[in-house]
Amino acid sequence: MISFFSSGIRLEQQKSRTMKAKILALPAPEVLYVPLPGAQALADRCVRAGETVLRFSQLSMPGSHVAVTSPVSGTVTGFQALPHPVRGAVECAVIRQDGAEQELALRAPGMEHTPDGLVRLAAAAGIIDEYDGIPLFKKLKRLRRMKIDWLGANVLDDEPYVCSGLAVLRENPQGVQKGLELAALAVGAQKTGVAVVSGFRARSYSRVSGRIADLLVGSGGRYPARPGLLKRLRREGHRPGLIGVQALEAFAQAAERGIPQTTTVVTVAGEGVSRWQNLRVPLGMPIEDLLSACGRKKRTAVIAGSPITGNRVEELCAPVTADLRCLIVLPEAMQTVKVFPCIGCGKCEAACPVGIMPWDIYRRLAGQEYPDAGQLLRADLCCACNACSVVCPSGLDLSGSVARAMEIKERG
Amino acid sequence: MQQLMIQKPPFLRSGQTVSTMMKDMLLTLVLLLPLPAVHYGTHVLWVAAAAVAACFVSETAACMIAKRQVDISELSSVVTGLTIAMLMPPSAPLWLPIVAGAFAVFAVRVPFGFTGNNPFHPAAAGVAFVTVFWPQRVFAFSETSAASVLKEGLKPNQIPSEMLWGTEGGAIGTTAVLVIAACAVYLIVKKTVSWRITVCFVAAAGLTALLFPRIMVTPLTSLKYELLSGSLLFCSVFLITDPVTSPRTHVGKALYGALAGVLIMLMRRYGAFEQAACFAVLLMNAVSPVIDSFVIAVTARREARRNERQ
Repeated sequence: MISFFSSGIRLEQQKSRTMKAKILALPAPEVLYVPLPGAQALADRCVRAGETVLRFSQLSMPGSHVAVTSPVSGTVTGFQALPHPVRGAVECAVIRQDGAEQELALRAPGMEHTPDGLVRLAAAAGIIDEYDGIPLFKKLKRLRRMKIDWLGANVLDDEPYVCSGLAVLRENPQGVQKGLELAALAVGAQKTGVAVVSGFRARSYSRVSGRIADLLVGSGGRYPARPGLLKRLRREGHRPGLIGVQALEAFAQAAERGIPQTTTVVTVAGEGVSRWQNLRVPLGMPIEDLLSACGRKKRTAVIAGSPITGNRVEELCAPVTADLRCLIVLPEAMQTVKVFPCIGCGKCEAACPVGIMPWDIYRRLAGQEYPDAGQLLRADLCCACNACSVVCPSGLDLSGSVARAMEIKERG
Repeated sequence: MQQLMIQKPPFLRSGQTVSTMMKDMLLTLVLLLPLPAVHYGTHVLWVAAAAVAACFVSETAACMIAKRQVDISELSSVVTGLTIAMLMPPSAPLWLPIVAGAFAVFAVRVPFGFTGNNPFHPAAAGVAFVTVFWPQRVFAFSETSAASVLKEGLKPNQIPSEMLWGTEGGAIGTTAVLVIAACAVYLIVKKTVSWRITVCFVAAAGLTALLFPRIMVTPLTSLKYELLSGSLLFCSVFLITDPVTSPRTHVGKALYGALAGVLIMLMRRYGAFEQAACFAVLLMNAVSPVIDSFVIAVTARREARRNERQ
């Protein structure tokens, strides 16, 4: 009966094929395009074109974003703005590998773990939350300001195909747990947990056991998982916060061995590739190298992010960034969406996790140039999960309408 | 089955489209046919075929007149035809469903702009039309129906458990109660129809039957007779749940179902015809946008209050 009342949608997960194998670590290609977020100004960069860098040498150190270190040793041949499927364009350092594989000798930071010290460590280690692309140090500061008391490792791979988080949890549960404890210390949370879509599925996929298995908190198995889980935790009297599992793993490494984040785990799946795999790749590796490692077929289209909220990648030279969790490859000639008029089934309303009536907003916006912002009910609460568009039997662009309504409401 | 597509985001769709919903409806309506075909003879199949053909031909003709592309994949006109057939008597002359089907398409579907825009249920309107003009033909059942006996204020001869199997007098698709119940479960599980409407409709009608029995029997017997006779259960699954003509808000759906349940019982008691489902559905169709506006207005007021508090 629960499924009749709870919001969200149930989707086939399609993860078992990818989760069969371990995470495959790909070697760095000859040329890397390492993204330097927040380092548009010359002054924010630590290297110039022509300079030689070692592995873990600092490439940029902007004040408002994370520091970026080089994943390989080689020569910086220049800087280039490359297209990015989510952010439009990113400034990248082009590094040609020299094959010497020299690296800076790193030591564990010999400091005591104080909240402020941990926040500085997160900034210096260049860690970015893979679920939303926010730097970990900013997130830690924000969660501390919000006085959260329940900190969760975000393993909510609620979209079909995406399973990079679950794979990281399976392969390095101790690292995740250590990172979670450190992050909890940094934000002052007393309780910790591991947020998953369904505890049963996480156990069978990730084969976690022991202490970390006790921390698993299921959200009910529906998409989107996050709003429902946070609502439930708030009802139980907690002030919850979530941090991505890969960010926590990197945080533990940074604290224990002083290693900055230079790699990320990406799921590659879909009918357009022959091997569905989780790959650990250095940041800045061109997307096409990942696809060829998985056996990309001819005439295929690539979707970055997730099948529900992701975008199509037009140029495959785009580099891998820390917030890229999944690449889905589909044959070019897939089915087309047939659009019918709204039949008033109300499925969008049932699917919406925040109680918007997308059909009502769609109707009010259709054919109206200046709709009344006061009548676009709750549009400002939209969490952009696209569940309404997924579920609409008429194939309408409901999420687009709600996004427009949100904009109209914000403008007043 | 969910599907992936590369046309535009989101690239994943639930796989349930308007045509698959129509196919589900069609499947369940076809499942209602074998029992009456065995019991009343193969004439019922001809009635069904005539109704479907009338709707399909009318729809195609209307599309050609309106210079619209004829879309066969979207089966709503066929569903309308089959629904009309289910509400015809087993021995109906073939022109009766044809007239009902043509009226449904030309007067109710086409003038408002085809699928998704009709304010009234086309099948209910078609059947109501022929009921008003030829009541003797529409209620010409081979055996006396329990609904007509109840209408006269008498106790039907059958015991309620005999009324489950589709062997009693009544319209083609409305007597096999067990099959209708199975169809209801299928449609609700597949989320083709909204359970809120069906459950609230049956509950409200049942409650009215319990509290105000029409005949001098115990409330429980009254409940059984009222729910099992006439086209009430068929209406609760196939007519009143039509997404286009019912409210779209959750609360509105529940309210709509409950009001329709009470209305159909009032019509049975005070109305002129033994089967009032079509008229109840049409009246409720007229109210459904009002229910939606009411629910939305209440939500808007709550939101305004929430904004004020912040």
